[in-house]
Amino acid sequence: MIFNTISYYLLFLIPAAIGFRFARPNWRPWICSLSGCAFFVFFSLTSVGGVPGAICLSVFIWEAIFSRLYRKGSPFCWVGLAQSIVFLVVFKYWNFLTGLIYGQLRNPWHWSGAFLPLGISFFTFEFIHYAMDRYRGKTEAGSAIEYMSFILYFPTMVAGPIKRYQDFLPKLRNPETAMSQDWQRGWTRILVGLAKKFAVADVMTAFTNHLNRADILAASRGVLPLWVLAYGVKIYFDFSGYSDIAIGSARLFGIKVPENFDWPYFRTNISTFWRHWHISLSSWLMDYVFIPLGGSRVEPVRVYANLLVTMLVSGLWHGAGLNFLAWGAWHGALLVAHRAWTDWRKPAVAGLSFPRAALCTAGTFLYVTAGWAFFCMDLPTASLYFHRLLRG
Amino acid sequence: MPPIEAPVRTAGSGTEKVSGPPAGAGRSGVALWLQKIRSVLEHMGGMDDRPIPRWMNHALFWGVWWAALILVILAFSGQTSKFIYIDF
Repeated sequence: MIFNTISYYLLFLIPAAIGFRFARPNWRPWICSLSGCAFFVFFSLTSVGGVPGAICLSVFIWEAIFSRLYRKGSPFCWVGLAQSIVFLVVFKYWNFLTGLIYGQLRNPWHWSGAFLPLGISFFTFEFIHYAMDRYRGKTEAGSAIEYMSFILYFPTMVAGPIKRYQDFLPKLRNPETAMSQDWQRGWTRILVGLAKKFAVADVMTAFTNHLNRADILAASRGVLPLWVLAYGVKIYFDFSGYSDIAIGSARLFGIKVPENFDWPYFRTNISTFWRHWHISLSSWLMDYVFIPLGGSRVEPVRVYANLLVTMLVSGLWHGAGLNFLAWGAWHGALLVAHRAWTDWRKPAVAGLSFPRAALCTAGTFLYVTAGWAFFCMDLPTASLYFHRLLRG
Repeated sequence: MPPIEAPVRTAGSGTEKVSGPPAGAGRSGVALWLQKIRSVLEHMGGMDDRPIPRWMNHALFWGVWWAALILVILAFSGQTSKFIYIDF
């Protein structure tokens, strides 16, 4: 979908990147904004949401207009935050939340025509970031068209990396000029991303398709871990592959956006894992959830609670389902345990020996892999999976 | 979540890594080799702009690498697939 279609490259990426490169500086935000509008409408109509999805372009236009009211300390920033959350909740969580209220009973509030506007989970987070950083005085306003080019920048619109306006704006105004190097690196990145997606992630689907109730019941016990392991491989190559394509696409414009993955499966503990997996999301959660809750500057019990809450938010953001909350809790629990351990036993200054680092890396990898069971299956199926795995 | 000590790593930055060598791996031969392999892989992946070994800094190398990637993509692209995080 989208990044693995010819139309993405021929209709949007190549024309927009070339136009951006050779345009006058004051035209560049217009190129980003207009190409982003066209991208959103085209792929909404052809892939996600149809006509109602395409109409959601009005959300971006409203956001660009309303954001002109943001000032340092202004209550309008909180209104902006609230409307972003409302927008996300209505489209993504309406059926989940109303379903929770009514349980097994018929849900009279069920929205049968529910759809997700393209990239909603990501662009709402960029809206929130801008509102809060404007409130704190941490970023300049920029012009309306510059902000529109930020929120409509199509290489990262669909699934990140989640950008920061104060990082993006200087690059929009003064992009890199070494076009040959940017195109060489950018296309390399794109090709690697596509190869990761097609040759690894999609191949794993042959194994991950078995993660359903019927197959779990029928399978021998020994093969069960391999299926979840395959999912861990699949999701890494799928999402890092997407990120490679997004980052490489941005590079063609001469704009460098944040990295999203940095060898996460080779980290020695869960804390560093989360600093190297979906980095743009982790840093967003730290800045707009963990730190506002008090972060690490409160008594230990509250720090642990802050960690858990942050990971529950992360879980819920990933999907509207109890299994995603369970996944968030799975990671929150280990983060808390790790934090408590390092609080109690200060880490050695010299660091871990190589054998010990290898052991810690393996343990972290196994824990994270086990957690994917909650990510890819609903709670009852995940429970069945663990029951079969542990008890036969 | 402990605060991130280093600045956010941007694409191609190389010198602004969030991470360094594997934690506590010291300067053992294995760790250095792993670091070298990682650096080469990152450069082949388009992630790194830092100076590269001379054997990589050649148009033929990149031509062969791109051709290999394109062949792999074409060989495996027949499957119907969507990205997990879209949308999400």
